[in-house]
Amino acid sequence: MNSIPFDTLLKVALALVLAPICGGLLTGLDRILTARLQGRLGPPLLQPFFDLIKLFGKEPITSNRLQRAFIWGHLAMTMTSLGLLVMLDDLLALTIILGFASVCLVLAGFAVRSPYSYFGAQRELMVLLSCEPILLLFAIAYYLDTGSFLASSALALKTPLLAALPLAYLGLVVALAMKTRKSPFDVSTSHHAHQELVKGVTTELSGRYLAMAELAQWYELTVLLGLIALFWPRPLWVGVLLALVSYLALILLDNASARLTWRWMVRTSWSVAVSAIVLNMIGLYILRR
Amino acid sequence: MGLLSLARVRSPWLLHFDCGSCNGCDIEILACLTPVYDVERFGIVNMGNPKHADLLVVTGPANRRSARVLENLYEQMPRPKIVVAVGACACSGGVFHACPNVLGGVDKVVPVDIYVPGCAARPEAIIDGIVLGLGRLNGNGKRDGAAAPGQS
Amino acid sequence: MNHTHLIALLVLSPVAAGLLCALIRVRPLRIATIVIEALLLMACAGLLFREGAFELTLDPEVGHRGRMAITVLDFAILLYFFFVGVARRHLLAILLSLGQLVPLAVLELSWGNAPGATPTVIVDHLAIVMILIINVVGSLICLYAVSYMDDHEHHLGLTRSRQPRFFLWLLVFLGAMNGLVLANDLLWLYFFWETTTFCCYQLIRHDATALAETNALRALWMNLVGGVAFLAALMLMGIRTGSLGLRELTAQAVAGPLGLLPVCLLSLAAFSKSAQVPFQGWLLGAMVAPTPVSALLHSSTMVKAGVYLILRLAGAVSGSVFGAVVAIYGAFVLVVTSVAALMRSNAKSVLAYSTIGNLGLIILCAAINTTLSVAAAVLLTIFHAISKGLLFMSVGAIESRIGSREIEDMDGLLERYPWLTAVTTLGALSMLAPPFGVLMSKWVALEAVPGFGPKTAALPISLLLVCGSAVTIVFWVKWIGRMLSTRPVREQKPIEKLSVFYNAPLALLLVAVIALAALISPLMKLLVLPSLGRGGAGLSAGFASIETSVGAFSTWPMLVVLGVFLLIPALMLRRNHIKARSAYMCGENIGDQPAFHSLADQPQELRFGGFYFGQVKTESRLMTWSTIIGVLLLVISFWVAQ
Repeated sequence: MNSIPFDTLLKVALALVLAPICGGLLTGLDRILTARLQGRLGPPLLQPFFDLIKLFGKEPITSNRLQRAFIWGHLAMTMTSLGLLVMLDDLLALTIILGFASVCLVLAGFAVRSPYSYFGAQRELMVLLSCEPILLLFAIAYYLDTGSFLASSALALKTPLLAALPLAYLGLVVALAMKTRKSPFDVSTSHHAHQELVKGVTTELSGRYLAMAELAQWYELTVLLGLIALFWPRPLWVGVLLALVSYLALILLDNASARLTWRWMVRTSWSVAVSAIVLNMIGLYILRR
Repeated sequence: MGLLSLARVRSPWLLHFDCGSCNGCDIEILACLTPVYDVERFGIVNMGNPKHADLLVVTGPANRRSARVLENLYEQMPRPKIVVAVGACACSGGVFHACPNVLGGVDKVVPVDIYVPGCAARPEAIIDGIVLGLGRLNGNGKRDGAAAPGQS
Repeated sequence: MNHTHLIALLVLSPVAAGLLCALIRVRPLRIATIVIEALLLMACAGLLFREGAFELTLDPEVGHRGRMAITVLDFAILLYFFFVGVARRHLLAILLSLGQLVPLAVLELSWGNAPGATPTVIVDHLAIVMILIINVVGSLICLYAVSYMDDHEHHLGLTRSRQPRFFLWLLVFLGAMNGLVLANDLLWLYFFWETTTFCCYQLIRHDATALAETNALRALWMNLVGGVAFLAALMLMGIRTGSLGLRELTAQAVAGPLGLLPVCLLSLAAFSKSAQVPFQGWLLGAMVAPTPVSALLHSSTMVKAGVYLILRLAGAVSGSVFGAVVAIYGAFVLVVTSVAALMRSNAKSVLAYSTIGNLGLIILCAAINTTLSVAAAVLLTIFHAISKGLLFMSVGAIESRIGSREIEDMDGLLERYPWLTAVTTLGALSMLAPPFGVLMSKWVALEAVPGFGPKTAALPISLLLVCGSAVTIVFWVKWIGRMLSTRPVREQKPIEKLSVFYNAPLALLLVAVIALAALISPLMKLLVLPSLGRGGAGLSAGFASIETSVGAFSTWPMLVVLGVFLLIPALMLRRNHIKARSAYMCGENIGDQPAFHSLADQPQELRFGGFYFGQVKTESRLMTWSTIIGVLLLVISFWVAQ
């Protein structure tokens, strides 16, 4: 067995505990900001935690076992990807595992014969189709700059990643918007009231299973913000600031735009975001020649 | 159970169902979400889905057509759950109580915890009723005693 | 056991067993023959694996006689193709078979029976990998065919069984494939190449319907294109070097006056065999045949012969512009077939497109020809064979139950056939989920591609590969979702009972899929790294992870996570405290039924439909365009090869 140093394990454990706290606080911040933008006072900062604890305490009802298994898988895979990020491991592996986490959520939606859940799952699949190329291309662009897929190599760079990959950064922010279901990309489910699909892919989840999906969402948010922080890892606070600013920008976008169709989403992702990263890669080739 | 009880009181998600009201009360419920009343301050969120909801807020009288739906929605909510009847019609059938298709108040179909009177019920009264109902969301998810009318 | 005997057993014993099946028309004896032959082949493959690499030059006397025999058989097969062309009035088939008959005659006359200066057989680790795939997966498919063909003929209502003929060609096919991957002498290789075309033709037209005949003819002429290219390559090589050894070809390809042209021609032959884009039609048409044929064609034989040849030639194209063009071509095939698979509602076509796409990926990896990429290609060859064999067999078993191969008819299949659905779902998940083998190979490929030398090629290839991977996930998940869509569970459903010939191969391949996901590191050390033949710098397999020079994937932690988190709910099923409730349908649900009150309070059954992205019209337009682009890429590859 490859010996994993004890302090790495400790770091992973710490991250697994801290990430939901970060994710929850960010979600609370999101709700307050959104309320303020709508001229309301909004909930307290700790509101997402109350929601989560309440959900864990509710009667567990689900539609079937398969759904439960896939929700467990969804949470587990998201946590695994966070573990990989903390261990500064392979970004490509991380992307693939994060993708599989989404697959689990989609299958949890499909596993119930429910019209809303089914629609939501179809749309979540489209989100996956839109995100996956962006994230994979980001990993490849990262490799082109650093010469390795390991996240640790970003720390060794003299100039921050952002200088070499500004367009890839933009692409990643678009992926973040899709993964966190911010308008105009909130096609599969949404925290807002404008939801003709009821709650989309999470419609049939309730109690602790809904809480687990929410928790996975927080982990996912942390992972993606962590990826953004990699763009400026030295000193780390600049990277964290960059991630926070990106997230704030997305909250503004969320409130300033309407939800658009999934077709539009796929088209935007595959044309604008993907070509942004590709342009960035071409630029790298030309500059490094 | 301290934390859980606190969380329950601080995070009531409600499902609003119109059993056949004149829409007066419904408008007042939606008014609660607006900046003037902003019930999200108390963690109250309007959910369009019984499986996510803690409170069932019903307006309008129970009638033969909507009773089935009301019952289904109530059944699909996970415990602990409470029902708030909003407006005169939901409480007793109101002016429609003698109509041939009307069964009466929604308590003819589902057990009601809180009655919020008024035609239409004022937003303050609705919020008051909901807050009153939160006290009934106790730990074991069973109802404690019979439903009592709330005071506004 | 002597090496010669082992090789003879691998190549000739399936032929003998096939003939036995054809001659003895007694069912129990036939089944016994098939079972014994399957076990024998697996044992031989295991023995060959234990023997390791060796070379074998046939004794001159035997070699001479063997050469005579294959020459005669070559002409016999080609004449048969010619007559098929004449009988079916198919000009292309006539021309293509003539296009081989004449050069073959010239070749035989001019080089005649000169004893080969090159070893007849070279067994290296790549050959061993292929032998293991062919004989393990192929034998399991033959066992599966025993029950399947009974069901199949029962459905067709045949009075006289046509199984003797079926198993003859099925087993000969395995023998020919074994010969193909073992042969180093290109004349022998050509003979086995044509034999697989012949067996494939016979098996596709097995049901003797008009459609089967048409599709078989299409498979025939498309593969004859490859045959012509193969023979042309032999002619060129004969003219240039006088040597007809595969090893010599890869060693000295670039130096000669004709450059890469023979390699290019052989690649064309491989593309036609692997059903790459202008030739994709034959593999899609081949699904009219009984399912074991599809399973065999897709997993262990026929299409794998093409990529095997490409893997052999990889050394010759390394670093050339031709290699870059082939890599782009492979990536292009991956993308268009994945997109086409999105639009198909027929499960077998989805599988077929997925096969073509994966073969494109293998070709892409082979053409890039770095340690990492070739490792990805070999890994994918292995895992694709296992997963696709499993998927075709389970879809075939489902088809023989529900009478349809449409994904739409598999809606909620879990309620009806839990075991078959579980097998199919796991098979499909093994194509897209970490840490299963196919995905692991894809990961290795993704790590390899951006590091490809010619940067102008690396970028488009990476882009195409990424797009292809993303689309792949969608069509698999779409399909799994349809099968798993079930009502709230109330009672434990009985698991369907199938005959042992269905269950054993399915269960064994399922175990293989899961076990190899866990044992990917030993697999890398034992089979994959040696088969690269280059020391394996840049890639290493630890106990718990695979490490490349640019990244790492921890497989065991993934498995543990997957296992634990799938076990938790599985253990919770025992406890009955979790209540299942009906789905939300605006409160109009009718009890726990998947139905709701519709207009005028009429009960309405809940029905779902899949989403197929524009379907037939879009797909045919897509395939037209991709055929044009595919042909263009092939023309370009010829142009740069000179």
